[in-house]
Order: sequence, then structure tokens, then C-alpha cells
Amino acid sequence: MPVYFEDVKVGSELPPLTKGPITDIQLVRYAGAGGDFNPIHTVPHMAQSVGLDGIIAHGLLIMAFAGQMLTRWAGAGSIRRFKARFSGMTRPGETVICRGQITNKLEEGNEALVQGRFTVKGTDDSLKLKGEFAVALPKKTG
Amino acid sequence: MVDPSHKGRVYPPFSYTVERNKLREFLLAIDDDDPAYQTDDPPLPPTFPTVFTFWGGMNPEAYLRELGVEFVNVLHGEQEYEYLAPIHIGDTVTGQTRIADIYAKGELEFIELLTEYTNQHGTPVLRDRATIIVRH
Repeated sequence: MPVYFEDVKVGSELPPLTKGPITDIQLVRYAGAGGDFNPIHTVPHMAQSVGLDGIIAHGLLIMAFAGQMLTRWAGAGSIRRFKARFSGMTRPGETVICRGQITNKLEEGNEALVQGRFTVKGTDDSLKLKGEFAVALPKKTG
Repeated sequence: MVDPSHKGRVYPPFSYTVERNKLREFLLAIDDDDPAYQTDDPPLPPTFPTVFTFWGGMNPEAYLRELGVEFVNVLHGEQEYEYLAPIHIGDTVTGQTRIADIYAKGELEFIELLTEYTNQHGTPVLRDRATIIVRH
């Protein structure tokens, strides 16, 4: 069932999405898929050599989880703008929770846009990232 | 300290052709089984454009080294995508990156990279803004 522009209310929450626990192998897999081979994400001694307490997840992997929350709700291909600020590191073993809220609705050109903000937090409530999005939704009236 | 005179620097264009198997690999890595991506003409996941950057030959590691910054000393600070038109399997996108800004806040330095992409028809498809944080 698609989400229609008319049915979305400013202030309402998106269905949250829980992802994880993140594994070391997932970071290796993501490094290969995405192509970011910065060793702080996959090689423990290299991460320690620059003062990190072990490897950390790619920020864009965590942003991808927030993207899944958006596309599950609004439909893949509906996102028009997606911005994240990476606030905290995520380590293997952690589970994260993505949450979003609608902040505005507008019609621009021939598209009906819904804007909102989102967070991704650890189960200890630590902030991993926060950001803003805009999605284009279908209208019942066409 | 990164020399702020590098602001405005424009890098050579790079290209990436979108492949179905790369999409499948990316979806496995981000643990996304949405059936919308299993269709004949699937959309791309919203963070997929990172593949254009790293596998298309933009080479952030080399660019940073030219600025005197080692890859292990950077963190991703912010990322913004503006999706201007759909990108399909088989499309070839061409990106051009420039250094939009270099600035310091306290002990941290920030490098903003702006990459604009067009498809094989010359249509603008994506605007990508990445902020890199340099740790010392």
C-alpha cells in the first residue's frame, strides 16, 4: 500500500526501524560493496594506531539504515533529498534504532513533497546520526 | 593545517556504469531485502551513490594525500544527497568534484567536497555534498 500525500500529517512519526547487531563481517562486506577501504573500519590495529578503541562502522552504513526506514515507509525511489550529520561512532556488536518525524508538507513543481527529520541512536540512546529528508509522495487526486 | 588556498580546486571528471550485480552486493551489505529492488528497472538505494565515488575513480584517499591528509585521520562529518532525476541500471554517470570549502573549528578541520553528476544524456541526476573531518 503506497503512502499518500493527503494521509501524511505534520508531526507524525515514521515506523521506526531497528538494525543490528552490526558485525565485523558486515563492515568488511560494506567496505567492499561501497568501496571505502579506510582501515579504521576493518583493521583493528590500524584503528587503534590512530587513537580509536577498535574498528568503527562506516557512517554511510548507518545512514543507509536510516535510508531503509525512509524507503520502507515512502517507497524506494521516492527520496528527493537526504542529509545526515554523523554525531557518534558505531562499533560492531551495537544495535541501532532509526526514527523519523514529519516536519512539513509542500507542493513544488509537479511533486507533492513531505519533509522531515530523523535520528539513528544506539540502544543506550547514544546519538549516531541525525538529519533531514524530503520524499515525493503520490496524491490520491492524481 | 590544510592549506585553505585549495578551496575551489576542481578534480578531473570520473564515470561509473551502474550494474545490477553491484546493486545486489550493496543491498546485501546494508541488509536491505526490499522487493522493490528486485524488479526489472529498480530504483537505487539512497546511499548507493557512494559506490560512484569510490568505485568510479574519484579516489578520495589520493585527493586527501595531495592536501597533506592521511586517510586514517579522517572521519565522515556530513553527507547530503539531492536526487535530481532517476538513475537506472545501465546508466553511466559522470561526476566532477570540487573543494567547496576548507575551514577549522577548534582543533578539527573540515573539508567540503561537492560532486555534481550527470547521466549519459547530459541530464543532471545527483548532487553530492560530503564534509570530511580531519583529526590530528
